[in-house]
Amino acid sequence: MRASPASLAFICGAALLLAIAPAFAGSYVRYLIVIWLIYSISAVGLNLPIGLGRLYSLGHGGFMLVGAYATAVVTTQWNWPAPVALVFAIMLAIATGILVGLPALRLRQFSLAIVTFAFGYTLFHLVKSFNVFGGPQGIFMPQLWLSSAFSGLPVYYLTLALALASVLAARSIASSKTGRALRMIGENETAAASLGISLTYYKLVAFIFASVLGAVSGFLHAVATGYVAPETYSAELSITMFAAVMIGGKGTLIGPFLGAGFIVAVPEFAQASQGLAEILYALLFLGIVTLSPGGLAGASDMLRARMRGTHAIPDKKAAAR
Amino acid sequence: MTQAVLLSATDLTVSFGGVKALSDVDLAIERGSIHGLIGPNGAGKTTLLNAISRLVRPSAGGITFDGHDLLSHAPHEIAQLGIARTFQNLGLIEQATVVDNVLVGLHTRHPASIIDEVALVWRRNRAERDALHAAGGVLKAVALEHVADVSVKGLSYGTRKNVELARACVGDPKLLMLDEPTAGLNAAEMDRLKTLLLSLRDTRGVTILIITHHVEFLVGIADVTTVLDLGRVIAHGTPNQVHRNPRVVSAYFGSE
Repeated sequence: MRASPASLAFICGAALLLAIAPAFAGSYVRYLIVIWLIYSISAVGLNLPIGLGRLYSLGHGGFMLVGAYATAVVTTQWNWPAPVALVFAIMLAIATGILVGLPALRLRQFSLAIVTFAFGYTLFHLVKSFNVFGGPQGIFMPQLWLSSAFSGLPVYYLTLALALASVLAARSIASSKTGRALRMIGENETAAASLGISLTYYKLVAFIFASVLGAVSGFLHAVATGYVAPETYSAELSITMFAAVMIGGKGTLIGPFLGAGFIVAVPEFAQASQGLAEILYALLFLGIVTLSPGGLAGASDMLRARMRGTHAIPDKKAAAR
Repeated sequence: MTQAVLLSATDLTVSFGGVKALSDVDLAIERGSIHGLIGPNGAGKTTLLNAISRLVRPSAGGITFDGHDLLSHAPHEIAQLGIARTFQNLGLIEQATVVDNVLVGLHTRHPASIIDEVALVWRRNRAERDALHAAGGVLKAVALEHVADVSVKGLSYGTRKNVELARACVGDPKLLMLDEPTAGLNAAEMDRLKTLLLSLRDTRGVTILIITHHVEFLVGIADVTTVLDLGRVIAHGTPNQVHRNPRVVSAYFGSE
């Protein structure tokens, strides 16, 4: 994942396209774009530990929950303005990330997956059981300028700006010292340590990066939908986010956006056929993961390589995006 | 004043569940020397390297490197002190390009922090430029420039060994530890490696500890050779001396 000028051009082009989209798109399409970008931000964060460090976190929904509930509680009960709520949500996510990460990151693979899963699961039941968090009914967000003014345009552009910032940050990290350190850890922890890479530090950095973007995503989701309910942030969300990273293509820049698009669009398209959505979703998931281990981002490389009759060198291709 | 001995291990003992992989090993590596480490399979050569890398914990003894007590450092702090190494079974990032792998070797020297990468991007970019420059120089030295942007996965074993060597050298270590760099190399590749190691020592002043099964490889380049057998030092001297030592011969071929 070297930072190529082409990938920067691609990112800027896509951002520009999305920036002018509201001029043409109706409010429903705009809402879908916002939701897609919100999940993309979350997936971009999760892609760092999973895609580079091979740290399989199954509790990412927990950090989105922290962001959403922190936002809902401080805006409704303490009347904090939205920007302060965002900063608070991020701080809380960092603190939670350190608290969970320090003990959990000593574990590897399945143990890490189970512990992080339990973390998300615990948080879900925590907010469901206490009235401060609205209990099972959840919390309705107050009227915010972000989501109500100019028929929701502020939240659209805020989401777009944060999505752009997060992918640029991910690109910068992935193609520099931290990204290489994480990939080395993911490949061989012993060799990584001998090269002077502190396993604890870099695992924690990846985990915190993911938790911050998870919280940003939770904040935006609370603001954009105006409602924070425990069911949105159930353990299933963690699995869905994990799936989004895997489907999109872990370790690539564009993968999280493809994966998030998948988890937002497929249920949307299949809505007409009640109940079929989940089945279709599961089948597509199975298909993509079995046919293209590199996810959607990897699939296009495979096809291109096949057409040219050469074998794909995933890394060189991934860098182009 | 710098001491003549760069690394010294004294009475080093490493046990794995009752089996002594190393017992009371004494080793002194002189600054600016090429030090060979040979011995039959299971002699404890790699264990000795791992003890220096702090990957295994000795049950007794001490290791001093350049005035530092190595045993009081964590594994990831060893590189910072100036010790680099390669692995017998290659420890490269398979999916990454050659140059990216070499850049990992600059980890301890790369000044960018996560804050630079996320916010102060110009500082990250400057650090990356410097790192790429250094990596380019080393790739040139090992004649790997032409594959710099190729993924490691598809390269031959010999080339990948060279990538690992480049990664170990790029940070300008004081001590370079090579675990079986000659395994799987043909005669021409071995000659090239010989020239490279000599130039590393002579032009950059790198001290080299080298494990090999090719005793003849050491003749002509190693200043000193230590022979291990069953976790003990059984001989010590120039390659030619140990080559003729009856204890060494019996360790390799058995005695009558």
